[in-house]
Amino acid sequence: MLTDAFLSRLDTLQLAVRGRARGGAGGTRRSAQTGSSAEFSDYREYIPGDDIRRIDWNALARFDKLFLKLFMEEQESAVTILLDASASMAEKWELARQAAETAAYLALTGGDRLRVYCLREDGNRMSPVLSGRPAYARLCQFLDACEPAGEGCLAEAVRRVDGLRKGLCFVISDCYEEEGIGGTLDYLRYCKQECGVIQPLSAFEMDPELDGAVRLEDSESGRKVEILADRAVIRDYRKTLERFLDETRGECFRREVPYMLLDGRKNFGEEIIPLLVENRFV
Amino acid sequence: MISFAAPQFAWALAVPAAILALYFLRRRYMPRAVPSTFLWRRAVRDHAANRPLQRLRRNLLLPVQLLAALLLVLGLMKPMISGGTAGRTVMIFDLSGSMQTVSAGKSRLDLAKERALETIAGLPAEEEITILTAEDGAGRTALTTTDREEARRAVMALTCGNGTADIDRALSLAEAIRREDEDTGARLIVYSDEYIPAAGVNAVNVGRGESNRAVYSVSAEEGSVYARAANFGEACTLTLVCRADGKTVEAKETEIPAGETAGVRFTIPEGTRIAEVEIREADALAADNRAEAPVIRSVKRTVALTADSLFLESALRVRPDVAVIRAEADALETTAADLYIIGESPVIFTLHPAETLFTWAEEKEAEGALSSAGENPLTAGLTMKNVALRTLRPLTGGKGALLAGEDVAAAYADGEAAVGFDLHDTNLPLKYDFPLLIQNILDYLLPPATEVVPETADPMPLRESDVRSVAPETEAAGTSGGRVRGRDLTEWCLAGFLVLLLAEFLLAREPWVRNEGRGRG
Repeated sequence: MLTDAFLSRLDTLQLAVRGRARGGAGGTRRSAQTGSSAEFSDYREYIPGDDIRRIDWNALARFDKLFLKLFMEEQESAVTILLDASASMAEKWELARQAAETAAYLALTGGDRLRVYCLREDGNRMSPVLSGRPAYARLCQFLDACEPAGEGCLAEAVRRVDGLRKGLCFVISDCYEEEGIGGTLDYLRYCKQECGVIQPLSAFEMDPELDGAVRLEDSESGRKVEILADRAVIRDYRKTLERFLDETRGECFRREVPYMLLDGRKNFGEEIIPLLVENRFV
Repeated sequence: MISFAAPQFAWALAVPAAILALYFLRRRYMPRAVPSTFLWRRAVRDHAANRPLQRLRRNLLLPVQLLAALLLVLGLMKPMISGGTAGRTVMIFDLSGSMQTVSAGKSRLDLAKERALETIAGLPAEEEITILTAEDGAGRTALTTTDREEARRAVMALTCGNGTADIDRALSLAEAIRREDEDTGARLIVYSDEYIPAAGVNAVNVGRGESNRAVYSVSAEEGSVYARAANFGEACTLTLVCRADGKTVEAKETEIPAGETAGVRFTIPEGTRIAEVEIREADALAADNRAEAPVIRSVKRTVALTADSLFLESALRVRPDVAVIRAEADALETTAADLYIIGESPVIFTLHPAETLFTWAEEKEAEGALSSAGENPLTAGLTMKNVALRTLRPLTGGKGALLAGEDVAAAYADGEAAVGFDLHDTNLPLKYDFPLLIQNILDYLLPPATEVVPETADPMPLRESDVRSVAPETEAAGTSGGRVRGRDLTEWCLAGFLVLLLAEFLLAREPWVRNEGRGRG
């Protein structure tokens, strides 16, 4: 659970939504629809039957014609958090969870309706629809009950998610997909999701410290790789990691999807807010 | 056909077997759980993609290692290809006394024989083998044959003596043989414990510097023996035993530093004929630990003197074997003596007192100082400086030894000598030359005599190079000339091993990576 001090810092932020929200209930997001909110939007000519209280009398005096004032209608947005809960996320689960809680808090305090999915091979776990600041505690309880386990394919797990409503979608995953994350993002865009990708990686994954003959055992698939870890091998790994991150970043960039890398070597509290701002999440 | 000069190294074939066993033993890997091997597998895949020979390299490592180990083992076994064009091989064996030196139960000659038999086994069937021996200063041809069995028997029958060996003469003989065979080119192999620097010769050096002590020399005279012992090894204490006519009379210990000699004197009973000195402690070469010598006794000589001359008597007694007796001039023929000295002027020295061939003139004044009449046995070693003479009786007959002017003042002939002046008329007796002159006359007329010397065995002649051996067993690379017959493959095997060792190092540089497991992603 995030600290109160950190949460208070989040209170000054609001999730960025490029498109106009089209929710059903009233919220704090701008909707494409015009309504009766206090924020002026535009004029149009009076049509018999319109509400005469909205007639702009100044415009009548100026132009000797009847015009109606139009106002922005504020509505809530749907925010979905897809949290990869496969076994590979175990080492960085705390980091991923913090990222999920941060996005969730921003959604809840922004008046959005939130739903969190923990994606697992043995079936995705879905939170109830949450809204409002008080729902943060329920979110934390839901996340407490989620444990990463099993072998998972993100693309398949995302496709098993039902009832995706148009809105914001945060994908929190290490993105270890052979085919890359592009297909998943395309699918989510098809489902009318405005995506953002948060990729947490542990300190070991960012900078492995290995020496000698080592048998690496995949915590998710059980596959083993035996290596003689020397400087050349570590160097090759780092190059592969850079290439992988560039590919993931590139997939997101091509789809105009904000992307953020969470480095497990760094302090989450100090890192996350600048990253959120820098990568246009808020 | 390939044979092996050192088949005893066949046990080393266990090494490639061990390599094979170790290869199939799994390397111990430390297990480490990671979130995902996704990136590691990609890294390995990229690594292999950038090195297309990686898989091939991994598969090559084992056969390269096995081949390198096999080549090393073969090199140790010294493979040789026998056969080829037959020619002539000349083997020269050093049979000097030092080849008896024993080390680890084998003499140097035994070692040389072993090497020679190995060589014979590797020669082509029609090879003509000549065996030369270097012994007692001469080189002899023991055998020339194309029958290898006969050559083997001849080699086995070789024995060495106690003398020296003139290897150079043996080599000269071998070179002469080689010149006869310019077409085929004879190969020369010398088996010796000496360093043979001759070009074009394969030298097989045997011996490893075993320690040796020896009785270097022995000399004996009445009542005492003098022996000198030599130490060719490390500093030690030796016990020298002296025997007189076979009976032990004395033993003495002496410390001898490394490379030094030490003298020891023993007392032997009177009448001993043969004295022997032996080193009690055993060493690598027993033949030089004993030496013997005859006891030398000198024979007494009697000189009969008629004149009353103290000078002359004193000069005669300088020789210890001379006894001087006085005799009357008219009784000389009945006086038994070895030498007769008659008269005062002239003074006749004669073996036969009855007659003399010298004649002399009337006494006259000397016309000059005494001087030597050139080189002659009477004036050897004399300076004749400032020797004055008052009167003399010039001599005639014989050969002049001393002159006074042109007059012969002293002369000598066969069996007699004469001094033509009175010893009181000259200052010669007061000079150092006088006793020398008398000794010269005695040596001329009465040489020192000894008893008949009994025969004794000559001590083994010693040279330091014989017993302080040079390098351990090696076979120097030499040119044999002519066509190549039979080839030693040892160097090729070792060179191949080094090349493969380098290849193995290069192949093994990259990490050896294996992927296991199932699943995807």
